Amino acid sequence: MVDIARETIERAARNDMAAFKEIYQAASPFVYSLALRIVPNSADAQEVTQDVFIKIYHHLSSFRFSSAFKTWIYRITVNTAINYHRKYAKEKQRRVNNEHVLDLASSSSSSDEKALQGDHEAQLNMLLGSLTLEHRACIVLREIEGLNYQQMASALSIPVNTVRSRLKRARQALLQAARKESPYELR
Amino acid sequence: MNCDKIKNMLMTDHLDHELGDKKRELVDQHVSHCKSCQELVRALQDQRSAFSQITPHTPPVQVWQNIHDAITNKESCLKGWKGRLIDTIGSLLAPKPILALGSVFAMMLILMAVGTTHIAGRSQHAYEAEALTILASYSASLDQVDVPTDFGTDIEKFLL
Ligand SMILES: [Zn+2]
Repeated sequence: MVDIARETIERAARNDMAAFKEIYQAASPFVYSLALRIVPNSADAQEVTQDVFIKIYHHLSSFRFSSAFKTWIYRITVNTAINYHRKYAKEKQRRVNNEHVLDLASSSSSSDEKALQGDHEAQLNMLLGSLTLEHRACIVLREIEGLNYQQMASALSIPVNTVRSRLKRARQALLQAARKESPYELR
Repeated sequence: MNCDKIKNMLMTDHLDHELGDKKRELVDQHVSHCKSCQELVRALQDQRSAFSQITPHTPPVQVWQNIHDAITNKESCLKGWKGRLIDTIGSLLAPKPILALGSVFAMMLILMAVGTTHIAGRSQHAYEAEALTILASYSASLDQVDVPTDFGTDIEKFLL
């Protein structure tokens, strides 16, 4: 995520829409990309992104500058995406099962879903899909966003040791899944 | 250190550059003559390089439009005196839930005190009831689970 100036945050907290849009432009690729890896499709990821930014806007005035703004956004995003997934996964699955035949016939997918299907990323997403939501969030924050253990602990509200054990389990699972994918490449 | 312990570190602190120099040296020394650890290092590096090729996605333009609409609609709804009252209370209560609860309680006490000392007319009671409803609904809205309120740890200070 690109850095966001303190002055911009302060202006946005005073309901300056232009400043808030600056924050959106800096943070939305991260928010949307993380959401895309946690919820099942781009429509859901868009809804999560909207939700996250509306929350950010309404809580900007309560944001104290002793904390890192980016970490705060990471946290809101992870919580919102995981809660959204938990809330809607079952309900959506039921609907998907019912509409399965219809979906196969129309098979329309948005540009994002097509982008996700780009061979490399599609493969990676399939691997990520084999992880629990918590492990997935951990791996994305570390491998894609490049957070260190302290930053991750703070973004996920968990102790550093839990960060460590989640990363270890996630990586073990990914190695295992990769072996299944290409058993001859990785012994 | 035995091979299992080393492997643990290879999968976490060693890979993520969280080890001190001395420990890192110890681990590297072991890896230099352990075939199975060398294989693990290679597999983990492959995994990492797969992630490094990923680029972020930008949300469709409509998403910003929806956010903008949701915010501006809500703001125009809150323009009345109720909105201003909620905003004022909100800025007083915002930083910590405990403070928030405390202030809600204090406000209620004040309102009750006013109510008992005044031989209040009907309108006074109506006003109190309304104010209490607003306070109650506001304190309920503070229970947002997704928005962290425990900011300001040392780590976060360090990050800023
Ligand atoms: Zn070894």
